[in-house]
Amino acid sequence: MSWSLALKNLRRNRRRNVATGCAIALGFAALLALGGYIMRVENYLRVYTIYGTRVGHLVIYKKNGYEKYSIKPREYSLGKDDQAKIDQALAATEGIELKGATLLGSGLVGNGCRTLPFIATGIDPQMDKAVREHPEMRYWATNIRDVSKGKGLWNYPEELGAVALSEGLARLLGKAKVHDDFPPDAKAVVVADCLAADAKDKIAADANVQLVSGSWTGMMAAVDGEVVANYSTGVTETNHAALMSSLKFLQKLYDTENVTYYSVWLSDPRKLSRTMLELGARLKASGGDFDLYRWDDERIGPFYAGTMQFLRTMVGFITIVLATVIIFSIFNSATMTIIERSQEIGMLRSVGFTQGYIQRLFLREMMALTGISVLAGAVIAVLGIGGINTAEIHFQPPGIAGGMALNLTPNAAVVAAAATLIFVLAVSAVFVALRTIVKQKITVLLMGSHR
Amino acid sequence: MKAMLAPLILFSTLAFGQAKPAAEELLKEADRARGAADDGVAWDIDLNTVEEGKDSTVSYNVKVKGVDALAEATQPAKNKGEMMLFNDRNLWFFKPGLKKPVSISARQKLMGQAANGDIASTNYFRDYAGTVVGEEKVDGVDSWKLDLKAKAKNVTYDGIRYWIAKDRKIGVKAEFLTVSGEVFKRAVFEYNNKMTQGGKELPFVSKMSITDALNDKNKTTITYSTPRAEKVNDSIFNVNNLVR
Repeated sequence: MSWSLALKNLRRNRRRNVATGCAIALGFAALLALGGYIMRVENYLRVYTIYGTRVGHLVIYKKNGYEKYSIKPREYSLGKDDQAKIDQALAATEGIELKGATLLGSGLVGNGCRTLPFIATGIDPQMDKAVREHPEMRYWATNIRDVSKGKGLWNYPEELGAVALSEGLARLLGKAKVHDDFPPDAKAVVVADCLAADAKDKIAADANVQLVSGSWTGMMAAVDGEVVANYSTGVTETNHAALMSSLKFLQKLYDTENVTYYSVWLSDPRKLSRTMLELGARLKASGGDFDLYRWDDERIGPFYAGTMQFLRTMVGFITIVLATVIIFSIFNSATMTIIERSQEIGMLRSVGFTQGYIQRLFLREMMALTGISVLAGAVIAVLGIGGINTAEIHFQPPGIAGGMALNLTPNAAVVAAAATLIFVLAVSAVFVALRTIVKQKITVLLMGSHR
Repeated sequence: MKAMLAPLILFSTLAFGQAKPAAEELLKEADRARGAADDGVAWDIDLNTVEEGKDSTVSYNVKVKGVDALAEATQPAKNKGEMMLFNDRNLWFFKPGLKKPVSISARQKLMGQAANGDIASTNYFRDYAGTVVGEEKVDGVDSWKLDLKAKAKNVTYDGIRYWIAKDRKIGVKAEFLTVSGEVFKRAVFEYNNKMTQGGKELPFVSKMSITDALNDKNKTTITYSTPRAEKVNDSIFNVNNLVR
């Protein structure tokens, strides 16, 4: 009875209720779009960190290796014994989808005329393939899933010395073409005069580069590499210096059998904490000295942690502004309605309706209005977000190489959170507006003298 | 007039010490004893490094002519044939099996405390602008103290404090500086070799000991032997000939 009465009452001041409903609907749609944006960026950064940077859900370093590896790589990397202990611990741990070792290093890469600094990642090419083909990469990070030119490392024999250059590094080195763009018997072109007019063309006439660095045994070392692919790292700051090769190739350059860390990908990431505890215990029992990190540890995923912290602060601020606008809109509308209907409230109370009943009646009116508005907002959001997603708008978030498609992807949690927020705001606004009026004496209400 | 000035000059020299010589002349003289020569010269070096208790040695044969130098590793077998070619201030690295030489920096660490430029880049006169800033005794030897500032970005160090013995005009000590002027390496030189150039027997560097300024246990010693005047063919300094 009171619900149908509440719905009928909504028709009594249509213009005001439509205006209030519009504020709620647009506010709800804006919250969904904002939530969708955050979801999109969060998922991209999560997948970029776990799969794009190949750190996995869990990372195993030598004790203090994360902090000290770059200073003393030989001492703070995982040796053969460490690797055997880790393999054993991982084999006994349930829920491991993928695992693999990574070697990190730096040095100079040359094209026969000039050299540029590189940051290299050496991985098992088959692991690289598995990571690139992972459904998470396919869904969230298409821009870093495939190589942008050429073919992945796993397509080439180890003896070729296949390397993939980040797009910026390939451009700076003048290596416009990759291995497959040349005939199989193509020879490396030596540039006799690097200042000659045709030097640029000669540099581009093969896919050969030289990697030079200090080996871990103390001497300078160099190896030939064949550029088989260009790829985007997904992040501006590394997209002009990153280089990827097989683990063995990089181990040859640094003259070591060690690796920097082990990455572990879980089949069910929801079991991350449990698996971390289990694996940590096994690693401790193995007698090795290891450090185990989660992917969202700000030391492992600083880009994820930093960017999300910034975005959450920004979105929190925007949400507060939106909530303030919505609550004042509802409060204003509810206050005017209640004041206008104070004599009606007085009459209802005079014929025996309780304060609680009257409060519930008005709350139901507002909830009905909010419900209808939220539905309308959802329709607006679906149309708006659908339009934006279909338009394939490309935008450039800070630090993301090559930008990303503006796909807003609100999920059920975002919709539920936004709807709950709107309902709480609406109910609170009506409750505050009603609180003093319903407590007035009936005579005061009937005479309308409280206005 | 000259007769009047002479006692004045003599008096000022006696009163304020020996008159400051031109830094350029001092550097030219000192460079000669470290291998800078317009004609071909050659010598052998053993590069020994002690770092964190680990000891390793690599040997090179070095050939220098004018602004060019070629250092070829002779020991151990693993590094044999590796070459570093200095074309003026440009430096190339090559090892057998590489398809192309690699352009590297003279500042890059070669081994231990030694930078690539330390093994054959001997020309401080060419690479640094020097100023005589004082005089000090170094191990009992009266020396001029010079401040050297890099003339170009691709030289081995941003700055050097260099002590040149007054009597023999040889560099006896050096402090290598970062761009902000901090000492990060120190070196002392010994001159127990001799080499005949232009009919004159000249002292030639026999040892350069380089020590980490922060940890003096980290030390690299370059031992020079058999310095000799040698006819050197210009073609060995052609970078394109490295790969042939």
